[in-house]
Amino acid sequence: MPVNYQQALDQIRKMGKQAPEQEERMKRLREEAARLFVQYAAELDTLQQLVERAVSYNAKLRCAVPFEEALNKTTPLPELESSYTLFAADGSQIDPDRHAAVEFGAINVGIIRLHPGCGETPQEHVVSKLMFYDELHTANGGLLGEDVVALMRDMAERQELATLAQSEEPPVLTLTDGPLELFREGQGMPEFDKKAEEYRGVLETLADLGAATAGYVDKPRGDLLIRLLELVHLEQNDKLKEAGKLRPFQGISDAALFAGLLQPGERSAVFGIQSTTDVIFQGRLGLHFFYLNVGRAGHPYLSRVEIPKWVAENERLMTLLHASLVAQSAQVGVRAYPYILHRAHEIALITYSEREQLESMILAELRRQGVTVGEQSNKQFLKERRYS
Amino acid sequence: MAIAEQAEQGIHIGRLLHASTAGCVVGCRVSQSEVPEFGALVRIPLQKGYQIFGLIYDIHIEEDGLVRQLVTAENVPDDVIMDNRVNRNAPVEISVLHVGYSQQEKIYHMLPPRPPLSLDALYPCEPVSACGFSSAGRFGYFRHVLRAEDLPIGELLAAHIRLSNEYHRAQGETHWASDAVQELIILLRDDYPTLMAVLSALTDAGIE
Repeated sequence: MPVNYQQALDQIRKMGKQAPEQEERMKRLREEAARLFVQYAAELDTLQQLVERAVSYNAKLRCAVPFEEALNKTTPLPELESSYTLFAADGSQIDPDRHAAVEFGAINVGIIRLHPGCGETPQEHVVSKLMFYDELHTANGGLLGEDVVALMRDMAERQELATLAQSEEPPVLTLTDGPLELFREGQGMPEFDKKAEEYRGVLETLADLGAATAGYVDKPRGDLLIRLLELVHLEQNDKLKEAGKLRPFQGISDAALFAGLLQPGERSAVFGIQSTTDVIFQGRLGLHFFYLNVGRAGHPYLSRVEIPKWVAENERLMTLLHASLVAQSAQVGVRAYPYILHRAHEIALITYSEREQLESMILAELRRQGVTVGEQSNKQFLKERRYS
Repeated sequence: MAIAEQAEQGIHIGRLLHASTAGCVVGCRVSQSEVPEFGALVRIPLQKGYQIFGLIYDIHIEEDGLVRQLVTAENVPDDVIMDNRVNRNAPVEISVLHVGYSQQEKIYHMLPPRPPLSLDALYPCEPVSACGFSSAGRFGYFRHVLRAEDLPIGELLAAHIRLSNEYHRAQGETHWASDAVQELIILLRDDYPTLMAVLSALTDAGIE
């Protein structure tokens, strides 16, 4: 059956009627948040103490923490140094599917290495890992889910980056798409805890190398800074005990604060992250972030960049990261996004036809070995024959 | 040593994407500086002693979404250009019209008995081999070009004769081009519009 467009239309019209009121409400919230942002911009100690008090009420509190710069400090686009090595990794995955003729999983990691300005052709690396039998199951015997495979993929990306970075002369930048802060979900599960330990090892390797590593978040919806300002609002209304539970600025993102503040090429101040993942990312691995305007004059376009503390504290690495991300984003024209990350995605992508090819190869091998092979579930068979 | 075996020692231009008896399309990377010219003779060595000759009639460069986006950037760095030309999966497509073949070193200006297969390699014809093919018989391979009505026949023949004439002249054969033009005039004597188009293109190519 197609969508019941009549029902959908009624709901869309109802939503449309609410839109002007909603927009007005969001505008008021943005203005209030922006007022607190400016008012407390230099009150770093006050805000840090506020976060500490709020955490005493809510240990699972998640928000930004001031680092070393005023909240509304902006840093202009620095000059890009002439010689450095830039890596980007991305991954794609095949989740085990109990409806398929054969159960298998796959993680494909694509890495690209650039040495800008040196006239070298960029180098591509692809690492494909297939998973069979016991590798497909969790500790409690279930089939690996999408989230666990995604975590394995994220880990594989970073492990490959750390391995490749070891054979390079500094300075080296390594980029991945999305936050560095993995493991927000699933803490306590054996698979996650094991991977968290491995992730710490990878980050320690990169820190020892003095390599910059960053997670690039395109079109960020993050509200960690807004959540910090909510604490101010709650305290002013004597409701700090409800920190993280009452959300006075819900629906506003950090980007709303920076869209009018950051000029093209500028970055925001660096902020720390208060999160339950603090137990994983301790000391020099502590996660931080900043916003970056990779857009053009009149067309701001913000990204959020997550970095570990050892990068945040290293002026040269910060300068290089800032300048290279802006340069990379400018290379794809008006749709600003780091070229190297897009290429890593292209390299890593497993297409549907490639997935089918892998499945055929596996089935052929099983038949060659004289093993009984399974067949696709009836449900899947029928799904693939549905009318569109 | 057979011609096919000699060719295998050279540097191939690209590999076959698809083919029929009449022609084929070959893919190659954009960065290769040895991409032959429009109108050049090429060959596809197959099994021992058998190779197909063809004329390049089209060189096509595919675009994709990323390239379309990159052209909007103010500056495209050299490494991005090289990345797109060397690494990305967007080959130059070279279309080849089959004009003959050789078997046990005997040249035939006829369509090949069997087309090449996927991923067979395409090689440029070196001057000796090009002269050997184009001077065999009496320009019989021209009829394959003249039959291909969808192609820019005049431009293709003019480009081919200009290139081949250089090879023949280098070997002291000064009459090859005029013999070729005379043959075209005979072949096209009943097709005045095509003859005029061919002669006009030959004049532009400096072949009188």
